[in-house]
Amino acid sequence: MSPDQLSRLIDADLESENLDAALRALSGDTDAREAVSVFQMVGDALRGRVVEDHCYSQRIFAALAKVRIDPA
Amino acid sequence: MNKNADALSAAAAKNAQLDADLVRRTLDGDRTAFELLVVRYQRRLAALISRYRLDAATIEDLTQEAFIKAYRGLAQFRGESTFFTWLARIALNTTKTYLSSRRTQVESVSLDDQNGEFDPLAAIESGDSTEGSVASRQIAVIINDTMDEMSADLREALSLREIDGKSYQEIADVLGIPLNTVRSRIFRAREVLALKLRPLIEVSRSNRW
Repeated sequence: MSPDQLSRLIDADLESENLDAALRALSGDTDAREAVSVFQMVGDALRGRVVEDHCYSQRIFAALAKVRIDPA
Repeated sequence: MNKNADALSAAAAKNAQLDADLVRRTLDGDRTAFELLVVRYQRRLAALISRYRLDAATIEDLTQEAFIKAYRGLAQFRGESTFFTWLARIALNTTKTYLSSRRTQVESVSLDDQNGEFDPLAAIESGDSTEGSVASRQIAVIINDTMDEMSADLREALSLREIDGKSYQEIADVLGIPLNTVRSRIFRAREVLALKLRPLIEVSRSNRW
């Protein structure tokens, strides 16, 4: 997945039909995940949100892996 | 799914649609979709929780707990509010529950203190660290300086997107340039900033996605 598509992904500019492909690419691409994380951090920083303390992704993902979604 | 979409700006409506797509994909079994929601909202959620003046470790714990509750109860999200509003309600309830239990604990600690069991050193060591705030300020300085240094074309496009919250089409209309040029300028601006930030953020890379 190209970096410019990652930039469009976080801006919700990718067409819905391309979202599946984007998520598939992200699930196995560490560099792509890193790029998304940094692009998101830049946006949060520009909007004045605290950035450094709030990058919990890995810990949250590890916890999520042990959780099942409750039925509706 | 988005009853209030008409009232939103074009960019906000697109964001709401992306969130709805990610929720649907998560419910269909794609956990990467929910991970993207975490990346999108973790700082905003932590910033909300931090208003209660909690220490950094507690903010992290409560942020994690809120995301797990949201993930577990995702089927209950009906799209009647934005995903973040729904998530924020969960986070605030989680924080209030924590604060209630802490008040109970504080009462217990006071009793322990009377019995000579309270450890003030441990209490100090468990307090907030200023390290993160320094790093935050460094990031903010780098971003501001880099924004000042980059070409006006790139700065303008990224500012309209990130600060003013405009959609790509709105930016194209405002600047009178093609949509693909908007996409390219925003991406290039982010790349310039990411390059400058890399040395600083590699320190905490293991914590990221």
